Amino acid sequence: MSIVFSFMLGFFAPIYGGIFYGIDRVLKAKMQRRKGPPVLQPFYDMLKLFSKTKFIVNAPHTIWMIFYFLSLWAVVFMIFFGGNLLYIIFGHLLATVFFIISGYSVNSIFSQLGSNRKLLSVVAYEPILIVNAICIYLVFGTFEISEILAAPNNFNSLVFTFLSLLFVVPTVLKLSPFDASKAHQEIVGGIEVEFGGVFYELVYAAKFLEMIFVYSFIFILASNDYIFGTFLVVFSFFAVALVDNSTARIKIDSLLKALYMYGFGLGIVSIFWILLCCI
Amino acid sequence: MVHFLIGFFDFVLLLYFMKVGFDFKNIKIQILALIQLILFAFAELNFTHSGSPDFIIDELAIFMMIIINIVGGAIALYGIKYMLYEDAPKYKKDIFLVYLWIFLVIMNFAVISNNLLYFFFFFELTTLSSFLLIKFRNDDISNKNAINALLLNMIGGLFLLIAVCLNLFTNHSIYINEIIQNKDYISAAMIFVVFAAFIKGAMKPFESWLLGAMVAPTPVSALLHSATMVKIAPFLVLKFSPVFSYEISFLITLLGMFLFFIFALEGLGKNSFKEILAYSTISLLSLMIAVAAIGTKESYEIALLLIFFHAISKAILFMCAGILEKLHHIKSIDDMQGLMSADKPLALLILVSFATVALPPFGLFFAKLFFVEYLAKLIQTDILYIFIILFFVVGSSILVLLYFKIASLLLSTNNHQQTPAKTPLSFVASSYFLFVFMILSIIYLVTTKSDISIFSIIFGALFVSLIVSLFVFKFNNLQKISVYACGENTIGQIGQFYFDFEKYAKYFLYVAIFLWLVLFGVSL
Repeated sequence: MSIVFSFMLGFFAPIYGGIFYGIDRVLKAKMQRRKGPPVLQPFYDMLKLFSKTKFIVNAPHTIWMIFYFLSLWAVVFMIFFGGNLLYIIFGHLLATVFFIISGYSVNSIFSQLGSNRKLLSVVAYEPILIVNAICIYLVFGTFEISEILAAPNNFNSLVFTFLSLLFVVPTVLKLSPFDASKAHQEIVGGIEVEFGGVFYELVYAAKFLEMIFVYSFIFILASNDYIFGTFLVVFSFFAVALVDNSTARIKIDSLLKALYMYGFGLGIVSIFWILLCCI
Repeated sequence: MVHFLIGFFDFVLLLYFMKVGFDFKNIKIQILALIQLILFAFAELNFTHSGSPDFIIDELAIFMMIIINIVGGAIALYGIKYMLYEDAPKYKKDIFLVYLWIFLVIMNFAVISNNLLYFFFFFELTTLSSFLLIKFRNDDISNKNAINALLLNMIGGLFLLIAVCLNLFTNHSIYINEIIQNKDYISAAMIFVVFAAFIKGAMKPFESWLLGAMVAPTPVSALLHSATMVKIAPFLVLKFSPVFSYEISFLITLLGMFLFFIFALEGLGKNSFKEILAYSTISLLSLMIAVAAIGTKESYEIALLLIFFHAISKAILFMCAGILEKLHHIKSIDDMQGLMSADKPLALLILVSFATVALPPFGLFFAKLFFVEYLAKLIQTDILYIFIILFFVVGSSILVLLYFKIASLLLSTNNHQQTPAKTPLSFVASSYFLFVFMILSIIYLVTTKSDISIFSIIFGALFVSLIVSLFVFKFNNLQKISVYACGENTIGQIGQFYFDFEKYAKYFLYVAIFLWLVLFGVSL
């Protein structure tokens, strides 16, 4: 990929990410036999949010959140420039910590509960991401995304990595059953509850970036076979949407247990699989 | 002449320990002192000079001296200010400060000793400093913990002496440079040196002395029990790691990594700020020992990075804890609520220091990053390292949780309205100095490693602009509203999660002891 193209991909990520989000919503609606919003609904929302009066609760709350968005954007840039997987994971961790601190810095019970839960879910998925990055290293011999994407397809060795990542995707995107940190009906969106207007649009756009972040992990599993990679992403997109529709939320401690038992467990299995069966 | 003086003072020191044993009517200390006296006499009688020098200033020693003198010096200066707030007679305060400086001298000698007998002397002197400084407040709990620290560290000293005697008994050198050159001969004695290091590094089941040491005035905790003295543990392991056999190296790494995870978990159940810092210290010390024990060139560098940046970060955090204690009268993290509005610079300093321990683009994070990369290479040739990875990644995440759950309390403004207080510059000056020193070191690190440069520039810039924005932007032109909170009128109180460690403590302890025994068995 040329530098200009990578830059464009990164720069417009918060915009075109909205289309994925729109598709996601339509897909979920269809699964529930609803018609659902138009695909461009996120953009209509965006226009509406831009026109609203700018209310804030306090300055630090907003600043931490803006830097969450910026760091996440930087991470997405790093992905499109073919950066190092580990740096991307830890950059994402830093961004998430900014968001968590933002949630803490406002005197609202739901926001703080959301932050607490988000922190716990980070502890649950962070090790899985690192272990899977190590799996990818074991197969391709590098952490650099640009080199991984040029390597020949070796998906057989990464089957368990793929399965393990399927647990991470809904946790990062806060989708059911792993959505305790957002939990609309229970803690009204958690950290998101205290943002309004254009600032809520940033939180909203950050969701697109989060989607790009997790699905890029799935995409690179197919290395140079981009069609297969796209297929993997579409498949997991469907699977995650289906599971989101058909399962109930689990409590945060069950989330921890489930992720450690299955997600982390599969990561370990994956290392054994790669080392003992594949090379 | 030097040899005579050191031998003489060592006898005096051991006799003093004996006297302490009598003063406190502690039979264990008396016995330990007696055994040490006998063994020491044996060692002195059998000792002959070989050609090697008694003191060697090598790269590692210089590195340790930089930490000891820069970080230690900053803490000792901070101690002057801290002591103004301490409730004690003037002469005692002066003695306290003198102890701190003398301790720095002792540490400098400890890291350059090449003769194990000399090293033993300085090792015992650090034990003595630890004992005297923990005892400083002279109340019941201080005395009790000081005695405990003395007892456990004397066991460490005993292990060291056993190692010396075994080497002398089997006609082997007790000069460190000769020991590590002789790769064919891996002595069982070495395992005793490692055990001594483990005790100094407060590894399970000997962690109680360091946790008890937190009753001492905060400069002591900062200087001895996190930044410098306990670093002897990874230092010793680093020194001897070239001669470890594969089994010993792997077992030490496994034990260290296991304890890294366990201590992080145990810290989750505590709510005193200093205690949490103590747990994260022993957790990271175990990590350093684990990394140091691998004994390759890469692991050596990673261990150095860990030692260096941990010393600085923990020194800053402990100094902040001291300020909180003296100025804001806060000891428990539950009382920290609302600190952000009461004293913004201090709260931000604590928050950023947490970030320096766990997050990019700071030094400790890079050490961990390099370690993950290195582990990924190691596991290709040796699948057993999967256990190391397991404990490492989980332990690291738990440490993030441990720090940032405190952040929640720092930032929240729920109940406790703190009275605004401004920390005097002279009190935080040392912390700022160390912080600048750390930033400069990170910049140096980034210039030597080109592959992390872009990443650290991006996130460094983000971090700086974040801190600046927090001070500059007030958004006065925007309309402020009170929280929505979904219309809830009740003022909620958010608790924090604690991990009930006690339930499992027993099993973890057994595993740790089991690993010690296996280590001992393998070395024979």
